[in-house]
Amino acid sequence: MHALEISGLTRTYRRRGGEEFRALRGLDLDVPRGEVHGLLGPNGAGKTTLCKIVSTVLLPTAGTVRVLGHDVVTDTARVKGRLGIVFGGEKGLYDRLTARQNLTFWASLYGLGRAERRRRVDELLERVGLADRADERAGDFSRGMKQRLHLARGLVADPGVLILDEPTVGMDPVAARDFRALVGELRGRGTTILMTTHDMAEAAALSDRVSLIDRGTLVMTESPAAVGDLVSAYERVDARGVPDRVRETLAGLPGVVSVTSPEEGLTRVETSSPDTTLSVQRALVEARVRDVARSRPDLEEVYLHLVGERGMAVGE
Amino acid sequence: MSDVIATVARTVHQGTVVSRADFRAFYTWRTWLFGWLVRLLCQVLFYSTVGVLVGDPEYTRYIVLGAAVTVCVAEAMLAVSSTCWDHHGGTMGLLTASPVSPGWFYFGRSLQWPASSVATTSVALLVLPPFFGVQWTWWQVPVLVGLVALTCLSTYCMTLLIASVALVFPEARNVIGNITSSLVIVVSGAMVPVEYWPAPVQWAAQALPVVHGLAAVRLLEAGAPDVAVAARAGWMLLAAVCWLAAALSSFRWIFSRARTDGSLLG
Ligand SMILES: Nc1ncnc2c1ncn2[C@@H]1O[C@H](COP(=O)(O)OP(=O)(O)OP(=O)(O)O)[C@@H](O)[C@H]1O
Ligand SMILES: [Mg+2]
Repeated sequence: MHALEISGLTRTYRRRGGEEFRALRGLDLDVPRGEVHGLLGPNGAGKTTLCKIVSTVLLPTAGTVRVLGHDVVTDTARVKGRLGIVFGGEKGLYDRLTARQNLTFWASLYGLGRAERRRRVDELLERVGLADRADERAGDFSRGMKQRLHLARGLVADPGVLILDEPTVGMDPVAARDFRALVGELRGRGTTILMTTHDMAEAAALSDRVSLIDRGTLVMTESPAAVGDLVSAYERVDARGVPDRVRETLAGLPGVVSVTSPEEGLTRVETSSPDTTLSVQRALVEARVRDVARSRPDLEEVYLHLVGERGMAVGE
Repeated sequence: MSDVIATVARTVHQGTVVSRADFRAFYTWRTWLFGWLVRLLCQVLFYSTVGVLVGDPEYTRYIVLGAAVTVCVAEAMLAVSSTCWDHHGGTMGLLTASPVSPGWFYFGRSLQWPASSVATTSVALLVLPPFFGVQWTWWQVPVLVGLVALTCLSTYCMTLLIASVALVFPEARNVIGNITSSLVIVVSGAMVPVEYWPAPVQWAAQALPVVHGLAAVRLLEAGAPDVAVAARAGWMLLAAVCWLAAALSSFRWIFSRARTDGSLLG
């Protein structure tokens, strides 16, 4: 049994004027227990909608979602008790309560006893670096501090599955680094995490696998390491300051697939085998080109490749 | 069973934590005392002078008691607003996802208003009527405060149902609150006896806790037998339980409906 089993998931919104809009269109996704799964996709792709359905905030229009084997429609109570959620943004806190009161509030509603509650809240405040500000009103917190509090809130019930929707929005680099450490810790304890983000580096660093969603459907699911294969089956050598003469030589080597210049001053050679890669590197060294590196397409490149360079246009 | 009670108690208690914080943000003890309480006392005084103008001492006593007891209605009705505040806070989605029973949470969440109205209504009833020919004996005072507390809490149970409905139409929350409180006061027997209204209205009025609360206070003042007063209090309690049950179901229904249309996600 997987931690998350999503199949044929469809969600239709009724917009003003009665017109229907399909935010998710038959999406299938399985997340094994203990996996950190990154969810990527352009604005409006349906990531938040997916998170809300998994966390029982919204109902699916069609399809099924099971969390640790429990159906989100027919077995809602069991799902709720086993799941933590963090929705990014500044909303979702009781602004007039202190950080400690906010956490105690949810700890209590999730059924923690008095002593356990106190211990858990103290531990979480410490963990997200808010111990010193614990008795200040959440409404006076900065965006990043609110985000930390949200994260602590999502963890009060020590959930087996954690849904994080843009958890690092507004965090400073130090907080974001702490956040990554925290995710690492949770993974170590076997927590399954489904996380949306627009930060490719974060997704690549944290996720066991990433999924790309576009226009309500799943485009791909891969490990960040294997993700490059999707746009390039070839090995690549990147070099800077390559004279034109050398470029021509490289293009003539057997096994070289292409020689391109993706940006000013950068030469990219794609090769079909490790042997060819070696000969390309040797040729570059002989030509006294110093700035040479083997590269693979990174997540961002794959993302841009698959989603297309749509610019600011939001998918329909 | 004891588990269920413990869960309800925890939920209501956490509601009151939010409620207390809101109340403190709303009032300091000075603004409560000199702003709110004095304003309400002036309102009661205003209506009582109408009785004086009419020149009938019995009607004056009638109206001062009516105006003082119904002070609790408008205050309880603030629960409609405070329930809807959460729309903007973005906490409703999280409540939907949590194992909590939303009705009990919202029962605790606006308790500041009935708590405050126990104080304002008691002061209004104890302080002003003596100037208009009503004399309380010392043993009546605790009974009176008890009746007031029951009236405030029962009226609050009624407003909770209205608050749950207002969640569906949050833009209309003030209109909903004001219109209902005006209607309730008009048919409550505060200014004219309930019997003045057509029979169907009279029947409907029996569902309003404040009608029984006010009647009980009038009976107490008139020196009626204890059982008569207690009977009215009993009816009030029954009405309160029914309103609360309706409110709890309504909240449950609205929160589960929100999973279909996403309406509480703000
Ligand atoms: N309550 C709603 N009513 C109508 N349409 C909605 C509603 N919520 C979301 N949508 C639409 O559904 C689509 C998916 O939205 P969603 O919030 O899931 O996207 P997202 O992938 O989280 O985007 P982002 O990266 O901007 O957070 C969007 O086109 C959005 O306009
Ligand atoms: Mg989103």
